[in-house]
Amino acid sequence: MDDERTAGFEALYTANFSSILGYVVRRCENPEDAADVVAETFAVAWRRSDAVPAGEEARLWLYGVARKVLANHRRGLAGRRGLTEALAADVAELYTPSAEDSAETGTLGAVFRRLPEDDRELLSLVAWEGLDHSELAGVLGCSRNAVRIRLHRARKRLASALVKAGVAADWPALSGRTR
Amino acid sequence: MNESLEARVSGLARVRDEDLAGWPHSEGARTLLAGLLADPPSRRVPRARRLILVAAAVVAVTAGAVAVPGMLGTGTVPAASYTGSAIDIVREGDFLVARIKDPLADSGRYAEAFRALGKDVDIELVPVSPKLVGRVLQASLGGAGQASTDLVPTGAGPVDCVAQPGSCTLVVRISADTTGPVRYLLGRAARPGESYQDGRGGN
Repeated sequence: MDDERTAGFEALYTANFSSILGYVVRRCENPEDAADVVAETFAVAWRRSDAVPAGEEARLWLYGVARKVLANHRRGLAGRRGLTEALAADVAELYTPSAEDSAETGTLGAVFRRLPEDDRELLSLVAWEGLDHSELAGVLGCSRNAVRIRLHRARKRLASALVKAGVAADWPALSGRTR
Repeated sequence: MNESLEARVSGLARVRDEDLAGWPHSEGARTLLAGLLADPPSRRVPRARRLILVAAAVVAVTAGAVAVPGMLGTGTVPAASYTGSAIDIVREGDFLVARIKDPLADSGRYAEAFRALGKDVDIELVPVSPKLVGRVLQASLGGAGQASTDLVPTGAGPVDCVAQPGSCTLVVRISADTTGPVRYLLGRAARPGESYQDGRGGN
């Protein structure tokens, strides 16, 4: 039974590692924190492997865990540094600024970072993780209707902030996916 | 100019999942996985503990009937916890949990700690081969209740205590309502050059 559990966890880890690493790297300011958050997220999944849903749902479940771990991390998480040093060293390469970082991206980035955290997370889950409304509802633990309203407001706030910053965008394109 | 807001936010991402395809097999990812798997969740449940159930129910009833009024009669209230350089004891639920901080300390120091909590517990540690570290070699529990021992990592990181007993702490749990004398002979990690006394308990 333990072998089964181990094999199940290895499969979960391999299938979802890139998604979770991506999710965390996109939100963590440095590679050490990112490696710690990834480690803690999978440690939670290992401890609670009975609670992890099967298939594609597992990724959403892990996003939910990673989100909570990140929130805790900001309040100081006692890392698993012994386990994560190698990962942090690998992850560091993802933090090298790329030549593509243009001035426009810089302004957009600054505007985006000034948005309320909830707006930022919602827009990120759509733009970065590609989640649709029902997936968002699952990860955030709210109804699809609430997601729809919150997303609409977040987009409006980002749009008007961009106008103020002089990098206005073409709003009609902001429909997002609604499946 | 037809770029959607979503696409622009997407351009802010530090990395895209597609670029991370080979990462589950990177050295860092494998090290982390191995570390997590080395710390199986099942070790944390009591099932894995080496429980010693006290079988002598008749003795328990007799000892309890005598000892409880006796303790009340002294008028002294035992301390709730004990902290010393050799051992810490705290009450956790229905158990007294003793962490042996110095396995080389004189066994009188452990007894003294338990005495401060109103318990008659003697723990003696003898050097044993690694696979027997933390094991009970001999036990005699004179009262009601149960006791167990466990070997847990001393630091925060996961450690395989069977492979590295020196990095782990011996924890002894004894029912808080134990009334009679408890005598324990336990295995501890041997110092370099020290000979094992595995045979001593006949276990």
